[in-house]
Amino acid sequence: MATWRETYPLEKTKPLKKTIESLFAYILIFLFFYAIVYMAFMNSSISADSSNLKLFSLNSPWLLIAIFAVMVLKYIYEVFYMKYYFYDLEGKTLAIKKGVFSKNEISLPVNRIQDVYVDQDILDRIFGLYDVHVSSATNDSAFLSHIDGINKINSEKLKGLLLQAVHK
Amino acid sequence: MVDNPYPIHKWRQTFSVFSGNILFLTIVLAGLFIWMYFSGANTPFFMKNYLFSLLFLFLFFILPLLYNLIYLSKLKYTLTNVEFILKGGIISRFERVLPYSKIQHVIITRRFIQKVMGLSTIVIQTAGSQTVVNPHQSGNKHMFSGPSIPGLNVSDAEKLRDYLIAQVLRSKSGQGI
Repeated sequence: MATWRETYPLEKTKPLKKTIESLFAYILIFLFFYAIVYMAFMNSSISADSSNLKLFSLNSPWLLIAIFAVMVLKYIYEVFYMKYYFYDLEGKTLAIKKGVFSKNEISLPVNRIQDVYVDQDILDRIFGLYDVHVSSATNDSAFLSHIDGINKINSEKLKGLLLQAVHK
Repeated sequence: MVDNPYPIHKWRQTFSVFSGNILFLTIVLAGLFIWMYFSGANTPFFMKNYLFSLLFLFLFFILPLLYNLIYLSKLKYTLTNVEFILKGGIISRFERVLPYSKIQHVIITRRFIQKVMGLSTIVIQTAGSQTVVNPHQSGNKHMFSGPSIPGLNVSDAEKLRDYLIAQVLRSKSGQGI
């Protein structure tokens, strides 16, 4: 029997969405540190235009190249993350496994499911992705037991199947 | 009623917890020696004063390592017909009883170094999960609340997980939607 991972697969655009999401975070972090460095050198005798600091100025091509390289690495990581992402209903247990370097596996018996909800954030809406969250009565379940990045039809099917398994 | 049906590999688990520290120490010391060799600097104070450096090493490295080792050897878990019991602690002791009917879910987590060494940590969570023990000793200090058994073999952890889930599904309780 095919697993849920094969029957209701993750969308191909998920790594791209994750990469763009992290790009915003990286840009914010970079601007923060840039502001600190800029303020530190503002009153000193070394001007921010001196040749030592040219490499880090905002219009330097190396900056764009570095950001691009980080993005490519992040994209590759996300592709592998998606490859190792696994979810299935094994009998009466929902199993979700994820992680490239470190692994996390959660086993959630269906009679412990408290609620099922589907949501999207702003990038999810642009890419047409949906997250299916399954929560038990613990705090940590929100962190682990969710299936991210599937399309609308599959998310509704998964929601239906989970609720069906709960009520059985 | 068996104590530790699957063995806890305390030496490997302790090594996996402290591997980061060992790596850090090695890199710092190697960097220091390389720098001293090329710059011809004087011997740093902690190499002249052996007592100080040994004390430092003992307080921040050997002692936590020994504590972790003893903690893991004192950790006992028992599977009865109706409940899961976890006992442990060196100075302050604890005993936690989880009825199978109250277990919410089971998590198996592997850090990268644990994966390399073929180890798993299993976390059993109830709705009232809180950290009973100092989670530093369990080897997953940043991740989950709830009682955890570190240092199990991968296959053992999976067997234990399957057993616990089977017990949870068998026990009827009025929880959930």
